[in-house]
Amino acid sequence: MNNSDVLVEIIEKPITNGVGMNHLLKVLKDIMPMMDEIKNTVENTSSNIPKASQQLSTVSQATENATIEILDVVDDMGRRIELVETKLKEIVTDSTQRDVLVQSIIQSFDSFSGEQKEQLAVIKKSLMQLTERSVSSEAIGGLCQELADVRGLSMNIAMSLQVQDITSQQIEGVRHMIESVRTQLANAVGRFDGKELEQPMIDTTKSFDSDAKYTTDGTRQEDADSIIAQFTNIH
Amino acid sequence: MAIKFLVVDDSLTMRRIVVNALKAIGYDSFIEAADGKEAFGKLQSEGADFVISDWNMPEMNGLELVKTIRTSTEFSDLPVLMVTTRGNKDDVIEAMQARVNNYIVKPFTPQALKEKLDHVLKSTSLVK
Repeated sequence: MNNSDVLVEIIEKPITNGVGMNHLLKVLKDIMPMMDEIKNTVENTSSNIPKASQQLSTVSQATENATIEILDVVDDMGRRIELVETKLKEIVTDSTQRDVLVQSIIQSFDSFSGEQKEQLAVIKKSLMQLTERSVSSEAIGGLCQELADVRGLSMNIAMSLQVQDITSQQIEGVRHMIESVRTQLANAVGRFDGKELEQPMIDTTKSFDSDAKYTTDGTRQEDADSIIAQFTNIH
Repeated sequence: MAIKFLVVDDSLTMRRIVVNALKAIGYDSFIEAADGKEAFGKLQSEGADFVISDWNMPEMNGLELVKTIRTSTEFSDLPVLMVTTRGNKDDVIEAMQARVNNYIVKPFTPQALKEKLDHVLKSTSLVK
């Protein structure tokens, strides 16, 4: 018969003689060290929880800092792309103005005659070649389109960073969960020593959505839209 | 007319992402707040034409902000777009009952934001 069997027997059959009492005392004597061990284990375990919670908080903060840094880079990229677009447009404008000027010079050659006209024909040929080499607005337009695509890609990077907000809410949910476990364990241990109830050690006013999800298939928005549509029809 | 947006979110990351998306759409006037309480204070002190708000925030959450706006005499008709991770049916219903003008579930795209803004702007007197 093990200790728990003895306990059951004692509970079911009231102690009526010294033998039963001796059994009870023996069981209690055996149980006390075990209870102490459980208490110590729970105390040690729960004392590690604040550290784990703090580490999660540090991870969350580090991720936010890194995200801000990435957003800074994306913003800087956007500014530089805008600068290059502006410069390219200026180049097209300058090139167009130069072509107009060259054409007007070439046309002015028509008023000359004789030997001068032959000499001017050579210059005209050179000027025509120069015009052919000028920057084409189509080529610049192509470059501007490439830049617009890069801008779009950098925007995609920025939008993907919403993952930071979503995961930080999930982490906050986990922190609250483990803090709840710690408080319950601490309160259980406190009952041994007659201590007052433990208060949560993390900021419980922080608001979060522990069900936050990072899904990009659009189904959650579609579900929301169907509800919104019902409201729009009713109201 | 230049529309002045009030972007409300306790996450600095999200505020920047929303502002970046608005810039990409073509808007350029914004003020920001980190919770509903600060947002309503800024509405009173600086004014805004359109509120884009998160739901889960400390002090005063997005839903409380919407209710505060709707019960105020000054801003009761102000367009409010909720942008939140909360995509459950009950959440959307609660937000619509609180009279948000539209609702976006994070993560969102600039296109989704534009569609919702256009929809709200079309149904209000604010037209870009």
